[in-house]
Amino acid sequence: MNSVRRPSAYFLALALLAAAWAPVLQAQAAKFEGLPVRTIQFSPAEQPLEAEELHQILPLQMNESLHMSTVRASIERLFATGRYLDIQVDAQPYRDGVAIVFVTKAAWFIGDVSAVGDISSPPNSGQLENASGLNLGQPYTEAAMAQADAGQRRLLESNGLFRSTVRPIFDWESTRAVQQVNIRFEVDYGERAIFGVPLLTGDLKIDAARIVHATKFRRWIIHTRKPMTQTRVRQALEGVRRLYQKENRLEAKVSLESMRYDEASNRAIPTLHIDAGPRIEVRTIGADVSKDRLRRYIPIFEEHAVDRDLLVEGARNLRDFFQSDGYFDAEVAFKEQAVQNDKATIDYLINTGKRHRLVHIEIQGNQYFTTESLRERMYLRTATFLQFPRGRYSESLIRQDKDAITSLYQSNGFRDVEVTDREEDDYGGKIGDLGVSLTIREGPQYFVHALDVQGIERLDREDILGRLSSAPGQPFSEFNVAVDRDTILAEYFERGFPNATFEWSFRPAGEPNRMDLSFVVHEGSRQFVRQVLISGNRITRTQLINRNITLNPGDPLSPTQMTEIQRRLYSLGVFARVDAAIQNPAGETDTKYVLYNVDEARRYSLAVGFGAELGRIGGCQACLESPGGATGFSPRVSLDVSRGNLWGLAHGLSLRTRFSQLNQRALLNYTWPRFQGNENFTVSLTALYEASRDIRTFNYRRQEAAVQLNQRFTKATTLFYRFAYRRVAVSDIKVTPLLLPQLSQPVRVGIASLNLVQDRRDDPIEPHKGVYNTLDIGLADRFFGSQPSFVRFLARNATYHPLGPRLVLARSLEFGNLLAFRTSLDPFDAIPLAEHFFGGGGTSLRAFPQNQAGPRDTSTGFPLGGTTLLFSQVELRFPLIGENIGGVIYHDAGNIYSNLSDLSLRFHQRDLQDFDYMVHNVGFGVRYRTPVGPLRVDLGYTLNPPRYFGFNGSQQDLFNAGVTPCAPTNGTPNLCEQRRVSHFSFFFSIGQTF
Amino acid sequence: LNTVSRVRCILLFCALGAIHAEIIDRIAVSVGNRVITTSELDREIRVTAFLNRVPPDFSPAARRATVDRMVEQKLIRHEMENSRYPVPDAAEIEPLLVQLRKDRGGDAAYLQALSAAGITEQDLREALLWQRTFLMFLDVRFRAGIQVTAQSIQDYFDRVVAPAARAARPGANVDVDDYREQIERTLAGGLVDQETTKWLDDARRRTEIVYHPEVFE
Repeated sequence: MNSVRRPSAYFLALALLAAAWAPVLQAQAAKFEGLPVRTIQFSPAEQPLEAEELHQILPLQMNESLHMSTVRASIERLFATGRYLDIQVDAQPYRDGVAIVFVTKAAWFIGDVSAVGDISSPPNSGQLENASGLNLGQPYTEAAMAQADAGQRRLLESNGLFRSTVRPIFDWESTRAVQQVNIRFEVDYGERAIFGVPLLTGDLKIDAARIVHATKFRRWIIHTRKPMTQTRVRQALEGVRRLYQKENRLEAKVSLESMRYDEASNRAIPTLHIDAGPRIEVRTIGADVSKDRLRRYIPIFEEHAVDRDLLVEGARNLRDFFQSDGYFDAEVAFKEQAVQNDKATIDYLINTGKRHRLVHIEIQGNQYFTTESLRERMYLRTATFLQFPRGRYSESLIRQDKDAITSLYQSNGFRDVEVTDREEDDYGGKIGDLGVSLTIREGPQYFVHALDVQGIERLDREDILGRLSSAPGQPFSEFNVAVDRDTILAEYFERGFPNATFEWSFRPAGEPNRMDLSFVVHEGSRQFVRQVLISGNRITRTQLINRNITLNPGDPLSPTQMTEIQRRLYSLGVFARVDAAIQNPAGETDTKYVLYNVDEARRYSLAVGFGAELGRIGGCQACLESPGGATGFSPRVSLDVSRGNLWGLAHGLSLRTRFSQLNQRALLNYTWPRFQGNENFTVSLTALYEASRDIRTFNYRRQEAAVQLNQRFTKATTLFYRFAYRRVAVSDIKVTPLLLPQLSQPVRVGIASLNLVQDRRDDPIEPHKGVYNTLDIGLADRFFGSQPSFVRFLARNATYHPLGPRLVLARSLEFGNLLAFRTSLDPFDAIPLAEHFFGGGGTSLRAFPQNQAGPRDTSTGFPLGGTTLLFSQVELRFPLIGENIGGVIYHDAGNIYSNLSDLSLRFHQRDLQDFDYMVHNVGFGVRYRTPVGPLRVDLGYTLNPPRYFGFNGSQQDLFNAGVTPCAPTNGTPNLCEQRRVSHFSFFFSIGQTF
Repeated sequence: LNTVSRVRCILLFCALGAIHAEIIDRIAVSVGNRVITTSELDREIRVTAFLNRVPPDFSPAARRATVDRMVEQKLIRHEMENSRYPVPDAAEIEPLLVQLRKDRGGDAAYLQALSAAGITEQDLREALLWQRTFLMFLDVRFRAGIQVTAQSIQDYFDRVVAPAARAARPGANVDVDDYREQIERTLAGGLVDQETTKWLDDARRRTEIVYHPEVFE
């Protein structure tokens, strides 16, 4: 034992001796003052800064005299880079001067932070990582780790995980060269605690059992205790608050005082502190207001507090409500009564005044802006049928409109503009009508006389000046200056000047209403990219990520570019989170590491969906009834499985299946985005099996394999190159028996096609302006292994024209043709039935039910489709009620035609075997705006629906009836019945028609 | 280890010490990405002692107290740089230096005193300029926003000034207007102090300040 302790004691003594010498040595430092510096070395030799940068920033230089002030400045400068934790300067005599050694200790920065292990949400790994508060690129310190531990512990315990353990594992080696430490938290959640019986403290005023019940800490019916989670605790507090609110105790305060953990039973026992407060009754005097409305407008219900501010806000909300309902003179006050017998009353005294209609808005005094352009910016609206039956008016709205007009004028140089309002009751002598007059006193317009810009030295001054709004001769306004400031600073930030600042001042020029402007730019230091570092990718290949990194070492450090890279990484579709940061952001260095930390998304996803179709899709499948379809209902189930990020290259494989009475479908799809490293190319391979009865004339089975290359030319324009090979077999064909042998043969089709899509709509879900064009050209030929040879052409042009605020004229024209070749037959007969155009329905031509347009079998009346298609649709979309409900009136016209030569714009059907005419449908619809697109209801009337013969008999009867059973000369016309597609149509779906 | 070995060990250490490089400066405290070095701390102690005409105190407690004051300086300097606060002209301290030379008995004695204190005139200039800068910072940052109300002047007068004045001059008429400016200055000064302390506390919390304990042992 002694042999160990005694040497230690000596070394301790030596160390103490050394420490005692330190001041002595320090005092001796002065002896080096003024000596020439002969060498400068760094220990360790491997330094965080490159040698060139060190030489550049270090005030201490070789062969210059040593001064303590320079040594001090050198330490300060090195430390300011943020890349050092500690610096010490040693000196010793060397030749005729002094040798200097900087002894440094490097700083560390936070890299990838992950949580792994036995994690059963909540909290999930992402929450644990966030709770650590360890942010990418920030300095790593002991204090930060202590905070991380505390934050994670808090999160775990708030979720009942009192037995959990978290162990940080530091990876100092992988990214040592860039001073980055990756931290992996190994987590073991242990057993989650269950709720114990809550303890209640405070002034309850409600039976404790009811409160405990309201916490819902026990399961329904089986009454076992639930495991503790943060969400359940929050819900419990909300449940108790709701209980008190039901009792009109609006001021009730319910809080979680503590959560005691009983280790032995693994139970978490919450203590709730409750201050019930008095019962508060809110009454309205002078007008009836429903309870729901009171809760919506008076914030005391939501805030669980009663104070003057909230009551005033409630009065204001009620007044605005009444004013927006036409009671423009409405006044609302409130009166609080003191608590008596545990009860307080709040009376809202409402004086609605008489009801008005805003019928006239006049704007006068405006010369610079037209009345129309001012009206566009105003909330006030005169009364209109349905949308604003009383007009839109309230004191707050008129104040907002005055502010908007004032701001508009001021931003155009009218610094002295004044806007006043005047209301005229019983406008035009009509009682209840209101007119509002806004008078604008524009005042003089101020202009920039001269602009002096200083400080732009390292960027293209002329280029920046050319983009400024506050040029000489232009209107002078703070708004324009703010725009200029943003322009200048954005340019600087973009070019790597993160500390650039902008100051401005102005003074009156010699001429009246002219100002001399002065801009001063402080450029600050410029920063460049030292290196881009990626972390967090475990499966995704680094080369895939690198392809999307457009910042290179030496480039200016551009935040815009960093965000663009982040966007590109997200768009790979394989990352759930992409964090971007600059390492050591506060460090004063010219070059910075740019960091991207990615969190890979789950690779498997499963989606199950249920739905149903309701429409004229029903009727017997095997018999000849209802060629026009009967009302039917078809439930639908879908199951999609997908595997993302295959091979770490962001390739995807998915299987999408759908099963319903009408359609069974399975689609296997392999996607290769960014084909050959080009982000504009995507290749997909698909295999499809489909069995469908959605066309009533026949059932079909389709097996198809396809390869497709998408090429995106611009954001709006994409071209699809596609080759598909399919085999289609039809069955249960309900046509004249003569055609059965021909039509029931399975057909193989190999078709190569080009599809161009140009989408310049402002909003694909609910467009207001723009153009949408598609062009699809396909060639099926024996060269591609196809049995029939034909060309398929389908083009669509849709345009959207805004006619006023929320008033849109939308139109669409679609034309298609199938042209057969290498055959003597006409296209209608030469092209297989399943390849015909079929149309009709809510998303194509509303004159017909689903797939009912065009030629029909003359014996059975079932649709046969055609080889030519012409659809025209025109809609006027307008606001109807409030902001969310709109209306549509529409006209659809068109049809499916037998052949191109049969295309006709004729209105009348010639006879029961003529289907080649144009069918017209007019109607109206209602749209309700939802986040996923407008909910659509259309009701239409077809002006000239086709009439046709249907066959009232079985397949055998039809066979026995001969070739043309419904011809007048035939012996069985009694089985033929004249029918007609219904005049009325009704469609319900989500999304606009086109 | 026997005695001979012990002696050898100590001699070896002494020899190593004699030829080993000497630490001429190092970080004492870091304040964000700024530092206070041991030489800076040493200079501050010497300059303060020179101005106060006391011997410099290099005890650990005195060093710690001085460095705390220097941390505040760093925080203020950082704020001034970030917010582009105005700084005084270096020429403003010339009259002070002239006075100092005179107080020290002329140029020769003054230079001798500087040398004896181990500081240069530049060190002194920087210290004096900092004092001016600090006062200017207080004025711009805090004093401008401080309002002393008439009521608070009256309260202070009733509570503090009037009793003291009456005690000093019994029977004399004591009017608040005679003391208004003085009271206003006192109260404003107190409020500035409060605001400064609060701001410094906040700044300390916001900034990572690391003391290197070995420097203060």
